Amino acid sequence: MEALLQKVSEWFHYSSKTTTQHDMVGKYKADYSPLSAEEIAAEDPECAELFRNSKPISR
Amino acid sequence: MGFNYHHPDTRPQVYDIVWSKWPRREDKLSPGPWTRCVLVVDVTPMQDERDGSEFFAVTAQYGTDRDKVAEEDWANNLVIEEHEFRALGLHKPTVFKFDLGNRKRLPWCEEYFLPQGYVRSQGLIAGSLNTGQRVKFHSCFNARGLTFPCPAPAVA
Repeated sequence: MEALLQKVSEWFHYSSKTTTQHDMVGKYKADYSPLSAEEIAAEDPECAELFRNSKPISR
Repeated sequence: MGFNYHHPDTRPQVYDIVWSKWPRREDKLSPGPWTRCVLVVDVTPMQDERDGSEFFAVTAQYGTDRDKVAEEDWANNLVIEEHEFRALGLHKPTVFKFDLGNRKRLPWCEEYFLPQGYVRSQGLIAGSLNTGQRVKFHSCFNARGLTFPCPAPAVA
């Protein structure tokens, strides 16, 4: 029993050390890591289709 | 499928910092939604010619942790310093790179942006550049030979 408790204790210690704390925006995690131009330019087909079929208007 | 556009009154303005969900990120070890800070450089009303629906196209530059950007790359980019970031709703000093490869145009909708209303209701700040930062913003545009306001999006 003691050995089992020791193992559980070690697991919790390991788990808390490996859990990363993130900066949050409400329930969202804020990501500040560098992005490549390719990642940014990657097209969401639905979004590309929307802009292909849209035009600027004045309001 | 279509997009769920945010209410037009919630659209950001140029110089605002908002939170973008693009590019989407999945992290199997740490599941949950992610978001990135972006600096708005253009907001254009658009109309989808297929169904007549109107929406706003938001063009924005992505923000990166200042400590992950080489110091020689700070020139001609907007650096939000240690004493400035909290007032803009950011978590750390941040660099907004002004090169065109760091820019994205997206519709103002639930699929791509956290709405300003959500940010406010969570007691968070949706920041806007102050006067000094706006001067630097324009210096970055000028130094790179970029046009401001941004040219109207091309129609395919």
